Amino acid sequence: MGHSDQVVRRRARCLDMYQRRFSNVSQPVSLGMHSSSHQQQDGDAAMQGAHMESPVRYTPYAISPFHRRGSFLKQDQTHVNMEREQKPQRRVEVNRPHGTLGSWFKITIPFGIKYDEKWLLNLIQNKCSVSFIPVEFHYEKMNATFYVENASIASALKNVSGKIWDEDNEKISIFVCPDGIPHSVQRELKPEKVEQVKLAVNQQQALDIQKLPIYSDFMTCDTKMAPNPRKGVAASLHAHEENIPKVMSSGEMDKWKGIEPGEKCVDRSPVCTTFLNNSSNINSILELFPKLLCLDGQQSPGPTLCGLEAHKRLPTCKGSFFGSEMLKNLVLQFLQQYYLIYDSGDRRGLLGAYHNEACFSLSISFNHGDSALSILFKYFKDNRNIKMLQDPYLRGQLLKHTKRDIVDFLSALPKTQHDLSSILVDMWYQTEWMLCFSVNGVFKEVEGQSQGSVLAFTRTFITTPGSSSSLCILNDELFLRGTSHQRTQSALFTLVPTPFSSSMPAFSQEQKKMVKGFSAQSGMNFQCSQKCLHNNQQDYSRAVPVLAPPKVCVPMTESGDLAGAEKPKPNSQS
Amino acid sequence: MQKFHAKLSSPPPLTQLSLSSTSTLPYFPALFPTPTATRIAIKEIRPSRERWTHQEVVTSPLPKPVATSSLMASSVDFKTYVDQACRAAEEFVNIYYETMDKRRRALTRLYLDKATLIWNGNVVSGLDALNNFFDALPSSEFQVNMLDCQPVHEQATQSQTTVLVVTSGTVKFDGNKQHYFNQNFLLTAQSTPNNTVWKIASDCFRFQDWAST
Repeated sequence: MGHSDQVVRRRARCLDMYQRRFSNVSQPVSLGMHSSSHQQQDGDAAMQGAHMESPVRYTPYAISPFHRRGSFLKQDQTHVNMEREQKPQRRVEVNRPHGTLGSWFKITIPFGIKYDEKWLLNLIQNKCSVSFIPVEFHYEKMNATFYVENASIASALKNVSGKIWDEDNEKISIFVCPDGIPHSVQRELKPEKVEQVKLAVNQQQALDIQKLPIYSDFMTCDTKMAPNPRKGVAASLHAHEENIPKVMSSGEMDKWKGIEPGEKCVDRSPVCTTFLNNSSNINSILELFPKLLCLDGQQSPGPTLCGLEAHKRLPTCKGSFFGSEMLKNLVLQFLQQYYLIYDSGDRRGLLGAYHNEACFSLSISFNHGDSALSILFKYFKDNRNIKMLQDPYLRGQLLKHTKRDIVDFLSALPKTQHDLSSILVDMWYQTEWMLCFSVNGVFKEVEGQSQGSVLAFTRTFITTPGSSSSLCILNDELFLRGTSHQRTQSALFTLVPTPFSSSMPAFSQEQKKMVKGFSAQSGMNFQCSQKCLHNNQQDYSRAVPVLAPPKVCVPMTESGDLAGAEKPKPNSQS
Repeated sequence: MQKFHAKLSSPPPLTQLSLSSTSTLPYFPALFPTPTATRIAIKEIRPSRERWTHQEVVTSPLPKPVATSSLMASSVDFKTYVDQACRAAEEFVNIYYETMDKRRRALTRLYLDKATLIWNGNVVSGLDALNNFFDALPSSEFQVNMLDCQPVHEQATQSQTTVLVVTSGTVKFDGNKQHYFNQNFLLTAQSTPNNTVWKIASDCFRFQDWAST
């Protein structure tokens, strides 16, 4: 099955990603917490304690990678210790012919951790008009980064952004930051450069550490030191506690207190491993650069330029998730049987599916002016919304307990028809004794006043192994929501990834052109456009109005399987 | 009248009470960690240096399970479990979404070490991965409109008190349009004599976008 291959591939990729993420010990510790300089610095609230006076709403990411906890810190430490042993602390006086300041650029590929290094670099090189030599390729959190030494190369690379695609047909972006300096270069720069820099910096109002060449004699890698002003006051990470007071006295701390959020600066420089040693603390830096107002704040290039915001995008919505092929089959089989009975008109057959002491509850959600309000009305009296319902007695009453009560209740609900070809299943927990999964989909009421109306549902099952390799339901929660644009529902169904896989037919050139055009017009990506057209039988003019009314987020599927999806109803569009 | 307050030195194995017997064949290969039946070491509640005193979800101590086969007794217990579940769920949901929106860095404290998250089909497993995931997620504004919960049957949890929490509402991630979402959690209880600390064992999140916009 195509779907399972992709699941396997995805898992292999995940594994790769995690390996890259956590085994990259040889890389410099770049704690580039790429956050916007416009966002208020908001460390772990534990550390803010009484200092958080600002009424500005927190946006939680502004900084410091030093807040990393757990194994990541330990990793850095091991790495750093290794580095110390390997390299002498003294400056290495190497005559680098082209070791100029300011000619280095840091290239960042957001979410680059998904990609293999060689593959990615090849891909970029193939598209790039000039050949480049990537220096210090490494993964920083979710991104891939490397340095290049030339402005024209950097700009050529920037042009490649958005013109390359990965195996999932997702665009790859490239961000270029003009102030990166690889660590190997930093260590080799000559002493006279220090003087140059001092002069240059003194002319600035604020010191941007990113622009500084970092010299190993006054800044050494020491993960214990974090020049984060806030941490000086209250630190919940014990590693820092004993060191912080030396870095910044509480008097200096006060300086930060009254400063407007915009001025507060974030030590987030991805380039310099700004770990300050006990012996050369921040005071010596302040001596050198008396006009220091903030570290790495105002003068730095905007976030978009450096790709600082780039990696904060939502992960792609994926299709159904199953733990394994076997479980997938088990769950799908269960659902098929369950809904066969559920839709049959007689739900008493479900008695065999539930545990004697099972629980069931129903909840609905609606908005005022919702066109589905009248359809949902019949479910109001059984709606168990703990948020709204405070009475403990009612809370208890609305929870159906024992299989008899449950099946009696279900039997009283209108007759339905579920669209299994359009369901999304998430298998979210599983042990020897339980298998938990949620089903998202739509169904139609086929009798009663609201006949023909379509409702969206999310049903959460907690099951346990039953007799004869079946599942026995212990907990069942059904959530209903109305849908708008009833006529277009069936067309929408076809765009939802389904776990029931099948293959897409090959497209001719002409069809491909059509898809492209449709994609541009509808705003969907290529894949989804393909599917939509396919399901509307390549009738472009028909497909467009069908999709136009609701602007929905179409979950992108990995499996690309939609055949067997419902064709749009004859009366759905003229 | 039969007393229902039998004091026991330790809770009886509840599998004795379950009506259907299942063999303990490892029917499902345990891809995900098994919840242990033994009491987990209790993490100290942090001193309130923190602004938020309820960084963890804490409720009153759990009722001790009573070994009796009387139907009435079990229905009393059941109601108590339902109440307990509701209180935990309410408390939890308030803290969780507040933390998610305003103190994202502290969010993973609400998760067990080996917790898993399925976020729109993306699997995130373990605290480290969860930390990275939540760091990388844009800032959020959640509006929870619906909350439902059920106590999970002990047969599934091997007497580890667990609550199923289901929520729904809308969310706006920075730089993205608003989505409807559905989310469910498995919360497990870690009990002390004085209180119960609830942690997320699993989290499943999905946009639900075929609803009215």
